[in-house]
Order: sequence, then structure tokens, then C-alpha cells
Amino acid sequence: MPEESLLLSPALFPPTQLSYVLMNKVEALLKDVDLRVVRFSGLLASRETAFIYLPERKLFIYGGHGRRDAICGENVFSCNLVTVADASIFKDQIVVANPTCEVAAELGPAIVEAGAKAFLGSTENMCAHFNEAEHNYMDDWFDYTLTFYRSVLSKTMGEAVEDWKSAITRYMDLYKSHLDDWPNADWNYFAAKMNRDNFVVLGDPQAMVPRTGSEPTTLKQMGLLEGLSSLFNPETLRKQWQHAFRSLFSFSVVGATVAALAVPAVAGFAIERGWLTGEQAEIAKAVIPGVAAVIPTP
Amino acid sequence: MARLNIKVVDSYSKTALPYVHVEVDGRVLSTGLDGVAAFDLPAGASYTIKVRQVAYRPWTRIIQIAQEGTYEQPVELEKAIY
Repeated sequence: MPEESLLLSPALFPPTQLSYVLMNKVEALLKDVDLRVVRFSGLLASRETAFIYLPERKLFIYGGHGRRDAICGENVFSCNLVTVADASIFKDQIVVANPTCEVAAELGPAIVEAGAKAFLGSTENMCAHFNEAEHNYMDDWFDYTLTFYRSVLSKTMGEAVEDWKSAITRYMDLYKSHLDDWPNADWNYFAAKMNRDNFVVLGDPQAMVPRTGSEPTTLKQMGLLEGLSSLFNPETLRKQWQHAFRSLFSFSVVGATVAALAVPAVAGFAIERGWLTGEQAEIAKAVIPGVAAVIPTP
Repeated sequence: MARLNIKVVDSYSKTALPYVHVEVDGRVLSTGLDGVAAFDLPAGASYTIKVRQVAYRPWTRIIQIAQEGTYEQPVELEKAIY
């Protein structure tokens, strides 16, 4: 049976550390309602991952950097995890990008035009909040964003966006009432307003996340190493390596060099720790240059 | 009078940030292309500095200008948008 949701969360380029933590909570929400989840974070929240895992999903959730015409992924410089040209891969899916900047301006309409049921995202920048001495604004951000995601999983997409706006408005009112005694309330008021006012639902506002009452997922991918383990299967490994290496070369020689050293080392570490099956380990040794040298065959 | 030079840079790239809103006790200036906003202030008082740019975490501090002279206040802003 196809997995039901794909959740991608970059974690390196500020402030995606916050959205990464948020996505840990969103993943728990998804599992609480018995939705199967495939999760990739950090460098594995990549274009290659999206293209391999997206076609069988019903719900796609992304939290990280974006721009008008693309979801960036970890590589904010090339910013090409999914672009306008790839819009058709979301056919019949519900796509949620929160927190993500600007993607509802061009990418969202293209995705809906190409057949997605609905796209939820912002046409402008989306802001993080931070805890300050006078008030824990970040906690408020977690609260209003998780309110939104709870609604995404239980209501129509139109209602979820309305709940998002209502939750933010309550915090805006709070900040407005403390403009004189909370030194950073002014910025947080406008940041919340920007998050609220530019967030839209495109496509069908009556769309709901479909569920089949399936058994809880057995696939847990919460970080680089665990995520790496999930990729080791005969169908995907060769494609993953080839695509990843090609895109890293387009990023920079330094990135490619780091990848060439780090990937074999991480794979070798995973094999050594017994995180991969014997078959997966053999495939890794055969396909990824350098792994065999790190873990000599007995 | 004392001169307070507030220099604003991106915390990640360390590049100067122009056109940033800088407020010192209600007096407002924008940073120049060099990321600096300069205020002439009476000495012997404390001042609240607020540095605001929508794409960056807000920066607020209270500083003491004890006597006349030139004061440098570096400000590193953290990215706050996705």
C-alpha cells in the first residue's frame, strides 16, 4: 500500500533549525491520526528524495526555505528541491508549505494548475519568532503553527487556513497590548501579521486529507543516519547516488568533495553499527565509491 | 555630545546591511550602504536601541553613554525568514 504522507524538513541554514523541530511535532501529529509518514531531514530533504518518494503520496508537507518559484531544500543557493517546472509531480495531492517563504506566488498556482487538489502556503515571506527576555514568542509560534497543522489533519483546507489566521490574530492582539512593556512586541506583531495575511489556500478549499485507517508506519526517518538507512534498497540507491552527486557538483566543488568524503564514511558507519541489512550493506559497498574501503569485506 | 555609531551586519555572512531601521529613544535613522547609522546624543544618559529589519530577528538593547566621545555598537542580525 502506498505511504500516505511525505514530510521534508531541512535543518542547516538558519532559521530552519526551528522548522525542523516543528516538523518533529508535525510528524507526531500525523502518526497520532494513523497517517503513514515518510520523513526526510537535513541533506536528505533533497530533490532526489522528493522525486523518488512523491509519486505515491497523498499529502506533502514541507518546512524550510522557499522562494516564489521553488521549494529550496537544504541547498538555498541553487534552491531547486521542487520548481515550477516540476509542478506535475504533485498531481492529486494536497501540498502544505509552512513555514516557507513566497511559494504561493508562482509555485503554488503552477502546482494546482498541474492537477494538485490544494496548495497551502504564503505569497510573501514567512517569519520565525524567537524567545526574548520579556516573552517566549517562539512558543507562541509553535502553538499557532501546530494549531494549523491539527486543522489540516481534521478539517477542510479552507477551514485550516481560517484557524491559522484566528490563532495568529489572538497572538497579535496580545503583542499589541504589550507594545509599551515588551521591547520586541512591535517586530513580533508585524511578523505574525505577515504570516497571517499572506497565507492562502489555492485549489479546492473543501479538500481534506484522505485517510485509509492504515496501520502505523514502521519507517522511522528522523535524521541523516536513520534516513540514510531507508535509502538502501536496490531500486533507489543507484539513482540516489547519481542524482545527488550530480547536483552537488552543480552546487560547488567544495560541496562535492565534502559529500565524496562524508557519504562513504556515514554509510560505513551505518553498516558497522548494523543499521543496514546484509543485502543493503552489499549494495552500498558496490554502488557508493569508498564504502568498501571503509568497511572491508570479511 | 557623544557620537554613537551603530554598525549592522548579517550574522551569517558578516556583510553590512543597508536600509535597516535603527531607533534610539524615538530618533530614527536608516543604515547607510556601509551598514552604519550614526547618532549624536547627549552624554550622561542611558538609551534604548532598537534595530529592525523584517527579514531578521529584532535586536533591542539598553546602553549607557557615560561621557562625551565616540562609541561603537556592533549589531549582528539573525535571519528570521524562510
